[in-house]
Amino acid sequence: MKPLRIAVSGLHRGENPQPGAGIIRSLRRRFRDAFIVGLSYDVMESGIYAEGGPDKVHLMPYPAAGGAALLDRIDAIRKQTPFDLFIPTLDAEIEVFASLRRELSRRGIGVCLPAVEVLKRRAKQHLPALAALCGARVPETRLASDIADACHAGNELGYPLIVKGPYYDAKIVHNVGQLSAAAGHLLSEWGRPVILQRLISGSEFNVLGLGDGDGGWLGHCCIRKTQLSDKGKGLSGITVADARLSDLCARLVRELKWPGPFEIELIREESSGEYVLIEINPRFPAWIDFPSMLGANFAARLIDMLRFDTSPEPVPDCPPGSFYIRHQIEVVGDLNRYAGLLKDEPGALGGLIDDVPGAPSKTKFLA
Amino acid sequence: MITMTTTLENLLLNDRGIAFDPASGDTYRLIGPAVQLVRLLQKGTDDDALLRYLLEEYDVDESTARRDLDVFLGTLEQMKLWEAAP
Repeated sequence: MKPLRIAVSGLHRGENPQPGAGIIRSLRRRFRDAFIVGLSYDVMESGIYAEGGPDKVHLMPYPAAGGAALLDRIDAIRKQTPFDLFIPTLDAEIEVFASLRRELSRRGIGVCLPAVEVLKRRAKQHLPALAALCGARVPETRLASDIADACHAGNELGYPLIVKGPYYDAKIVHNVGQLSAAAGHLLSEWGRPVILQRLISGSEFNVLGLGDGDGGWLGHCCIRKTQLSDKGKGLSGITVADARLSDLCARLVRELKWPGPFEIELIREESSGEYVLIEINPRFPAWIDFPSMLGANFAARLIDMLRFDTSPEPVPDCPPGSFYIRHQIEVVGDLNRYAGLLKDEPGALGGLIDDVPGAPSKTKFLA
Repeated sequence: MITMTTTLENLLLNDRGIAFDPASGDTYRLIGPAVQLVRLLQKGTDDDALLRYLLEEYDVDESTARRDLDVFLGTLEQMKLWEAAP
């Protein structure tokens, strides 16, 4: 059998870690000889330089460049570094790649993505309709397309509330001034709409899994976040087993006939003990390697799904009571590799390293 | 009359005094006789038998043991692990 060649995106593991580096760790636990191609949007993504990271990295144009630009780049990369399987991990790129499923398949690239209409049904702005069909609660939600709209919606909902961008970023605001500033930032950063939700007080639970595309799943793993960063990211979590939580998630996956990786975010409301649905992400979360270390390797099972027509074995359950703690370390970057990546980037001008967002400044190199 | 909640029934206990609720993810640290008391409660042991256990296993007089047991059960009740029957 020829060695696996798998492309993975989203390699950064900083304060707001992306899933790619954890996926690569999980893949390497099972497929030791796999050749991993990192598809990166920034030369400063830390996972590029991590030990056990990708064997080869190529820069990609940002998803906002559109489907044609992404496909052209993938074609160019594959001429140089072939790959047959692809695990996209970032919300913004998944929206574009979902519309390119046929083109990717025609090129012989195995990728597990939902149809565009299925993807839309779980988007933040459409979540209340989906939740109603599945008997799930969502926080009272309003959409706003400009700052004035947002302030009006804020008055209706009352404070405190949470304001979110369509893909990323969320901020708790306590008054109209804070809301106006946060909505302005989100609109300029991520575009319309901003989503306002009544704040639900309680513990956060996340459920990751792998849908089979027919309404079932190959497995799931539930955690309660036990420590949160200032940005609300889970710094630690513990596996739980609650039939009410699993049943709720199973109903959502069944309704969507979700294919492939997902992460469902919920809050267990303190006052009622009920689970409230917050988000459904169309990808694995950054903590994907945690269940792998417990014997439930979802990333490897996704590769099985992509390689074989037959339905793969279910992923084993994670026993309740195991916990993870996020542990940050420094990785060493090498300027030769850094420069090599820039040279590889389409349109990059050799030497103008500080033209790249996030790059170390030229003055530091000259000092 | 007081009764055990489903949460107490399902608590996972280890010998080092850590109790874990697998549904909510809540973790408790049990000190001294509390581990054994919770184990007995999970088996459906009543208050009188719990008191007898304390008197047999610990060098304590009855009034102190009864007071400590009441405090312990009151704490469980506050944590919604133990509740007065309707």
